[in-house]
Amino acid sequence: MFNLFRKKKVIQENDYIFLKAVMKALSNKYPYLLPQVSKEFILDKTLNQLGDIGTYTITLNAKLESKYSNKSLPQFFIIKDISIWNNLKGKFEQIELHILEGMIAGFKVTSEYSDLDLKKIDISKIKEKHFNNDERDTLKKIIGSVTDNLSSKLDIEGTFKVKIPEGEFFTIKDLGDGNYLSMDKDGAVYGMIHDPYEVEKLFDNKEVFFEALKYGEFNIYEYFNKKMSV
Amino acid sequence: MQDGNGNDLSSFKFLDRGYTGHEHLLGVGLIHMNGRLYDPVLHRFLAPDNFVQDPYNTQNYNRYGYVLNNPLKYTDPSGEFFLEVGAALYYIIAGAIIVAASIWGSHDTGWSGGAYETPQAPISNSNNSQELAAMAHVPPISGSGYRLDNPYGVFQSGWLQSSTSSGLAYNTTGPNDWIANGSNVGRIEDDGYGDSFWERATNLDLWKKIGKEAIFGNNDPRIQKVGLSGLQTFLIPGGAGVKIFQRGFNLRKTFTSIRSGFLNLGKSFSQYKALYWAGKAKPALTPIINPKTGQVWKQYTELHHRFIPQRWKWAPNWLKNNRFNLKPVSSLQHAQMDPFRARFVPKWVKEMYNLTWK
Repeated sequence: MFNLFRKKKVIQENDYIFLKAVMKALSNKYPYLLPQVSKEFILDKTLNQLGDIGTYTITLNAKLESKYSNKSLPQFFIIKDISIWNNLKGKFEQIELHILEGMIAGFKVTSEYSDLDLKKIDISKIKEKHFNNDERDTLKKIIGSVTDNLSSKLDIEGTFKVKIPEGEFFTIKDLGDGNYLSMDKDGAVYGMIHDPYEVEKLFDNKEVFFEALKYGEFNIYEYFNKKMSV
Repeated sequence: MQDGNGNDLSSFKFLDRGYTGHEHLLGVGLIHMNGRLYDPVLHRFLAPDNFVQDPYNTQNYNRYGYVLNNPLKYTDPSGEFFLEVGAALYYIIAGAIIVAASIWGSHDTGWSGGAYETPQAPISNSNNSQELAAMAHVPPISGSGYRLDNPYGVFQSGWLQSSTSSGLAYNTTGPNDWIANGSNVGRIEDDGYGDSFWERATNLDLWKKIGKEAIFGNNDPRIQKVGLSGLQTFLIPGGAGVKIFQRGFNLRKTFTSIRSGFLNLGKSFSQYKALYWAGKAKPALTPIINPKTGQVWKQYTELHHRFIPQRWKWAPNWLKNNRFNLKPVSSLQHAQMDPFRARFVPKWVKEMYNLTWK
């Protein structure tokens, strides 16, 4: 009875079949995509209002994000010009995939799945579309060079600029539930907690911050848990 | 004063208060609902609601309407947040239970009487030490000493006292507080400064770390209660008699203890969140992607305090962190409901979803 009130999923079995077929065709060039097509990881899809007709955003299981994300890949790019045969139109048509940190995050398909022949997928003309990210580049300049071990504890690729009355900050770690760790243009590190609202300076400069992070004197999760335990 | 159906509302003479205690302003024919004024003839508020509590409910976008136009199910005592009648009832019942539990569980209100219980056979030092180490979840720091895990700084102003020179070693002055169990002898006493070891330990769930049940002796036969009238004494076999703490009845401390228990009972947000996501619920990552510009915002499922925010310090944890008050929403929905959350949103998302006013 309670299922009556549960939000129904938009994603259907056909979506999984479609995605699996496309990822199989791409498995030589993008082997990391095929294992992601599972009901455990892909939870739902929603129409992407910011894209063209037939563009969808995929809802992923965040618990498995660490398993499938690959921070060494570009944060976001689009695989374009994947051709699929349309039985109704009698010709190939193009679809595209949106890749976020190595995870399938969206796709664009304009026809009904029933019109497509999933056995006739041509990937000979595919190309990647990459984008500039000025905010990320600025943050990288501020941070300078850090070891992979340290940068893996942060989320520099996914940074964005936050403009608030306290100043301008670049997020360096999503702490969850609307709270962030951030850095200003001078390299000072802040904890940004929205409830109770607080922008707290934790380190005066990046050098002290990275030292503390390196030697375990500062633990990001302990900091957040402490904040959320009072 | 009349409502839109011609019903006479001026019969609410007693304190000029009507439904859910709202003040009737008879002179101007309006109802003062605390947060906003309400016109009973129009059945509408005179000012828009500042909060869209349920973005999935289209009724909520009529910001002049009363409780989603469903007064049978909801009430709005504050004029700003509607409450489900069931939820309000839940809070009342839960509050009563918690207060009752605080009083019942308060150590200061005295124990029921009990006779001296003969300690069972001692456990060896090594076993006892292992037990302490297991309870403390941390490895030993020296041969016979074991450190209690203390991430929150419990005991920073605490006061523990060794009862014998060869017994309990302690250090309660800093973040590395520890108790060393040498010959299993030691005691922890009231510090005489109003709050106590008990209160600090209870506030920070220390008992969970060192085994509350074991200390109270109900489930652990190795620890016995002795002399239960006024003086609380606990005996740990394996050494001499050990006074864990002793307290007599004190009304002021009882009140302090109840208040402290009332405020701190219940899970902290971190604890609630961990339990919530440990269950069947799957946290979602639904990125907002603009395929034309390449702008991406990774939005996750976040737990939003919809009625009682964390910033309300007076509210106890159990009132703030429960399934009625914490609602899983996406980052964008969270920002649309909470102006403070909206501040930490990328600039392009703020502009696109009209969050700039926040």
